[in-house]
Amino acid sequence: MKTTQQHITALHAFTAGLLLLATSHNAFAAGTASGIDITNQAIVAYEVNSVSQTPIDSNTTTFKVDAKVNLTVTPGTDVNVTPSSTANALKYTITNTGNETYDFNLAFAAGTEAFATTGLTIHIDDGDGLWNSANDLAGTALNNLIADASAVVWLVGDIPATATDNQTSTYHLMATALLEDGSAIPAQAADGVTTKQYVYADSDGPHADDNARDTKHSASLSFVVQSASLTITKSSAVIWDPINLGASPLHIPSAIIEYTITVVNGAGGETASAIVITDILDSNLTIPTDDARKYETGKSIKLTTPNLYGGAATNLTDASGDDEATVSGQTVTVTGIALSGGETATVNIRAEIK
Amino acid sequence: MNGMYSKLSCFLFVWGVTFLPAHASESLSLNMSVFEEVITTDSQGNNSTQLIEPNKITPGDTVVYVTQYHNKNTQAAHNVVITNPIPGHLIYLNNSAQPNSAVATYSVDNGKTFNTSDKLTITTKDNTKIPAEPKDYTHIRWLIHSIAAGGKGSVRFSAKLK
Repeated sequence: MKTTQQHITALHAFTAGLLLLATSHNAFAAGTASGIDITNQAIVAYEVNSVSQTPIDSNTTTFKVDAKVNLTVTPGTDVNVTPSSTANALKYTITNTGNETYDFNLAFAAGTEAFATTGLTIHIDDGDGLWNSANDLAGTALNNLIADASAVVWLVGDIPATATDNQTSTYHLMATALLEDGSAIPAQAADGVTTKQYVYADSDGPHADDNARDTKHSASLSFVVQSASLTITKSSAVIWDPINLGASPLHIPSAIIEYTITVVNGAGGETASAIVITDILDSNLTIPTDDARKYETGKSIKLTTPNLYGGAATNLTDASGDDEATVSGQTVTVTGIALSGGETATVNIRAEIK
Repeated sequence: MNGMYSKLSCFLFVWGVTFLPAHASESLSLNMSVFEEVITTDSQGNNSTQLIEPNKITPGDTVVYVTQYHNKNTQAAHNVVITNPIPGHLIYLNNSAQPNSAVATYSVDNGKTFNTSDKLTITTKDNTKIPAEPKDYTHIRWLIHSIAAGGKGSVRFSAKLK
């Protein structure tokens, strides 16, 4: 308890107005700056026997505003990625919510990973808030962030080819406050009305090393794979034989088989383009020897796909170079198919049992 | 942060009345203290308020200023007026002035005039008068009608650090 007593009988002729103008107002949203001393003194005026007495001052009290160490890491939004893509960036914002200037150390840890992002590094934003690998350089430190100021950092990595549609991998980015000269924040000490103490006020966060009131904070963001998920099915039917013709044909030499290959891009998938269908005919098969058994003269393949020929079923030549289909030996190849999420393409092939 | 001081000491208002110098050894003494106000909750959820040394005051904390008085005169003191500045970095906590028996008035003009809270106004940039709020108060003042010879007591108020 502050108990120094003073009995002052001299007149003080200052006006209160002058004194309050001398106050410099360092009022941040984060609060009064650390280190400021706040003093106060009371005065009493009174009468004895209806005669005004000399006003009397109290002692001066003082306390020092201490350092409130506080910070937040705020996540941006999850980022959609495609397999095999590089330099995908998650955005985190670090804000100094304390009442003095701090440096910050940055670190990250993986949360739940459905796929392992590779090459993860932290980059410091150049100030425009947009990811640009040329301007946002790799680093793990923020220097001299003043009270109330924010800085953006990026966690950047590459997605493996094996990642599949809708897989999610989550990463925690953590910032640790340091004094503005880079040294560790002093421990929270118990005493000292007139010296600056450090009070830790941060909340805990998702990073395993991040607890409440430990000068650290963290936030999480995820890479979410949005790829095409193609499924392919193949079926066959014998459609003609030389004996029964089209009525209940059997699998006998010279019978004609129709293969149906169906490719589906699952609903919600990204557009898949440059799809190539390759089918290798069994060695006991050949493309029909008689043009009458093909879809048209010289055309053993029929293609139905939304992106070509207006989506209409179209007969394609066995010869190479003139359209999307080619027969070369036992191999039938159809190129140029593109499917948006939910679309289907069908390739039909006529083959003859040798 | 460099060590800037906000030195707010409140001094005498010259009221233009005659006064006698106080006797050297007899006077109304004032002792001021500042505490941090801490509310603790026990395991049953009951809150209790404690006043502790202001060792770790950070923005948002509440401090309490207590001014104790002691009338060391052999005669009663009348119309005792105790005035406290409210330092610039603090905001008066509404209704915290105690005791209720001492009439509390406030100034929003740096101590030139005082009034009860319901009558205080400030003028906005477009020259309209609006009711003053605790954040506008610059000083607090108590009027104690009389203090008997040898009488002691205290006044107090709370304020929050910006």
